[in-house]
Amino acid sequence: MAVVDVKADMQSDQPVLDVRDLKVTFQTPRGHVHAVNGVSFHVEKGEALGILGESGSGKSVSVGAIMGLLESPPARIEGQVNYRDTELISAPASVTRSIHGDRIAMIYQDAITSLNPSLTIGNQIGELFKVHRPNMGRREIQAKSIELLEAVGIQPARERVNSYPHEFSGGMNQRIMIALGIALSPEILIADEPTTALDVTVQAQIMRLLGDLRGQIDMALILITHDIGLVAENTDRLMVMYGGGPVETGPTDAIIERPAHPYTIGLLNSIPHDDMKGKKLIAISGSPPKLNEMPKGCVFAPRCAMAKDMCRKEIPVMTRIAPDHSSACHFAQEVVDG
Amino acid sequence: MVDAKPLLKIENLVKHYPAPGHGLDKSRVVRAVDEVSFTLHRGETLGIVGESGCGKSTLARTLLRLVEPTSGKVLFNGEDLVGLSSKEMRARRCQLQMIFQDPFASLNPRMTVGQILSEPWVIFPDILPRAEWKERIWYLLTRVGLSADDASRYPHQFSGGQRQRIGIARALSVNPEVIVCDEPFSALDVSIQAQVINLLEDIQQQFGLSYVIIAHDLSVIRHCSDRVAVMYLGNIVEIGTWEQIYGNPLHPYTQALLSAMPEVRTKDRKERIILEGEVPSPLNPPSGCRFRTRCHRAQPDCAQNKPELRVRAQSHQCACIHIHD
Amino acid sequence: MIDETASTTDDTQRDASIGYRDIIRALVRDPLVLVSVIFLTLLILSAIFAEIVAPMDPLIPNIFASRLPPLSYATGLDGTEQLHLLGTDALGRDMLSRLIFGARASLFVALVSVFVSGVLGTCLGVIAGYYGGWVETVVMRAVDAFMAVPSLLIALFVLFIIGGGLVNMILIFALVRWVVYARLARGITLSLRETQFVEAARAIGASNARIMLRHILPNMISPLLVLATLEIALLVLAEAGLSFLGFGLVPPEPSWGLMISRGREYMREAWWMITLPGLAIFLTTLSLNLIANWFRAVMDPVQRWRWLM
Repeated sequence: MAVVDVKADMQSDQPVLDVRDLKVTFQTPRGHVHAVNGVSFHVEKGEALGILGESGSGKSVSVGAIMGLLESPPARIEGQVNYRDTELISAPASVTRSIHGDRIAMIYQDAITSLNPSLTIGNQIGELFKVHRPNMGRREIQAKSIELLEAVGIQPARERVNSYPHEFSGGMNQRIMIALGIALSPEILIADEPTTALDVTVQAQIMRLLGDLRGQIDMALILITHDIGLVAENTDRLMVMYGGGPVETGPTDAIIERPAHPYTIGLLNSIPHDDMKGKKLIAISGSPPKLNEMPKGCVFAPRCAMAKDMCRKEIPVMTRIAPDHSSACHFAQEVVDG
Repeated sequence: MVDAKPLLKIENLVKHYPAPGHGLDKSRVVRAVDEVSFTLHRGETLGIVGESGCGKSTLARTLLRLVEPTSGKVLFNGEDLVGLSSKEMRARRCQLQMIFQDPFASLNPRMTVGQILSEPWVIFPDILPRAEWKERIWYLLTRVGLSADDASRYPHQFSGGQRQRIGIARALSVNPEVIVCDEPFSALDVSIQAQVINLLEDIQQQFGLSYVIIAHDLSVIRHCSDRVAVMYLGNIVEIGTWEQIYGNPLHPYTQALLSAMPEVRTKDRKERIILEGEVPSPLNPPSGCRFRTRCHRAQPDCAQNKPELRVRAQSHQCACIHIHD
Repeated sequence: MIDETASTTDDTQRDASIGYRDIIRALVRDPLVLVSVIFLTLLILSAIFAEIVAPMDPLIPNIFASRLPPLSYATGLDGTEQLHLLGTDALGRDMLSRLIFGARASLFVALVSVFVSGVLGTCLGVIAGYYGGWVETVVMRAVDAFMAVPSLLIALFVLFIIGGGLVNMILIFALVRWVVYARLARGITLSLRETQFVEAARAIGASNARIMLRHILPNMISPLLVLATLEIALLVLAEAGLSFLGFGLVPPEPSWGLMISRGREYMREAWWMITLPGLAIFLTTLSLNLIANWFRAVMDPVQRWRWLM
């Protein structure tokens, strides 16, 4: 572990994770389905990146590809996922095994089904150490497990370590998931809808916990969600996805203050703010495209109020409208200027 | 308010379930809904918010008698629905409809959309003569934003948002007066959610409907409701107009709930009150005030007496003994 | 990663759900199941049209042509030269004709018993699951009781008392096998009863009978069909077993079980007399099992894509 840390410090100006032109295609009885169509992003050390999208936007499939969780076939993955100097997609399993779950960890939406019901939580944390840190002793593992449970606020940790998942509530299980996620002090924690199944008051607890832990172990966070409020409050940078690809990337505040893509604007308008009380919401018409019948040109064009002929023919590329703020719209500049 | 006589008046509605594993012991019960009272006026929308396990879904089902209430009254146009026989109740069902949370589970996968919409007319042939069915189905489908051809398709051929529209059309097919919506938006994507909110508001105006909307999303409830009730562990802890609840929340739970709501814009963010722990089990709720175990302002005397809903300002009621102003 | 697969298969699933064309296409791609389907189709057709298909009368003996091996010629009673494709039995009756008429008996017993027990069991199961309470208790205790004793043993015992024959056999099979449908139907009903579409039906004023018939029953057809297919296989075997033991169909009625029991006496000198009916039973039950498993997989949205690809 020490070796990795030194290495990390030497290259601190280089992104920890660099994803380039990631594409995921599924083979299905009805032909190929392009679930992810050219996603590129990077994660700096210690930062929080939000990936915002609705169902079918490709956000979960993208991280599935990054984490090596997609079964292939039916999935076909192209592009590059660089964790520091290692390209994960072409790397053999012996290499990725030491990165997935160790340097890049993941927590899921549904904590209770992600935990093994027949093992105590102490055993499940211990299992992680046995696989990834084979030279750790039993006592050390036990001590570390208790320390982790304390860190995620499970009290009294010394007793609870011998409990089974069903003895905990949903929020507590999500805390245990987080303990498992941070157990090996990963550099990146991917949280896929971590609070969707939880109540708002518990969501607030969990997001505060994640924020605190991130500060303590200098861990980058990729927060995948459909909830704009959640990314707005908890991330530094944001990637908005639609129909399998990114439509806008940039600093979270900049995107919310000055959205540069009609879809982002539509999403922001779809949320009922207090000043919309008594008025009709400005909804985006239509519904997201089916993955096997993507429109020609811009994927958002059929629902876009500003779409012109060009949008239905040419696929827009990411254009920079400010340093670090890009939008995949032919009229990005006009959109920003309003 | 809108009308002096309320359309729907709920009085001390109670639903207790036998506790799992204690079938014979009648004293061990899950207090899902405990002594809930409220009114709904014609044309009004009442929002009910609360976290999972607070009993809001049970409340919805109990007031429609999809679940039999343990005690209490549901007065609809002055008539108590609780006392009716199941046959009499079936005849009243057309006036009270429901829209369900999960658009994938609420439509029978083996029936076409046309069959789903016309089912009530099969059951109650007096509603609509058979000759007008086809035209009415077309009208309903186009009214909720689908096309007339969709009548011959099966639910699995639609997206989540479209299915929710079918569910709305089904509720409309019997010309109801009240529609109870149980988390009607929570399974929908953000961009679709706004469409459905607008649709519900449109049809409310057109058909003069009254809504009870149950949701956990506070911003949606703010947008849709005239009055809001906040539930915690089977009780209503605060009820008032939306301005009162959102502008001047009195109950500590309402305050915490509103502060926990993630806000997109920095200017909307409030200082967050992080509640300790989670909602206790309704099997064994805390004595006195049920919220006291998580309350940031709890005093020792909160454990003794159960606070009643008391009027604090016009139409604003709150159940907390430590609010005197 | 459950979520990710859910969101991707969701779209494809929406389109790719069960069309007849898909099922036929999947069938063509699975040769083993296709062969089973063809075999069973031929078997059923020849059982129905046995009088036309069978080359000879299965009941008329010809002692001059007894125990002929397959592909033998013999002079029939009318004096003409006849080919016995699968040989003859101890009384010189044509094996092929007897097998075809035997198929009719076996399949008739199996299909009718499955139909009667299926309807009975499903109705009781749905009612028990839907109403709960004492109705459920009574039905399910009965199920438990029947399950506790091997059904073949009950059948054997009852047939011993009331005597064999076609009708008695069907009645006994229906009596002992309804429990499997009742158990399945009750289980599915319990979960469907809680679904929102059943709740929605109640909200529009549907009666209990309507909810059971229109909303619950149609949604359990596929698993019931799978079960029924397996049950047909089981009953073909049971019929053969009981007839073999002498408690089933009565000679000279051609039945696969009876043919085996006759053939046993001549096992050394006339292998075809026992092997051919044995093979018929084996192939029929194997085909039914293959089809049931395949059908279950195709109907399962999670597994379906593998089969449809």
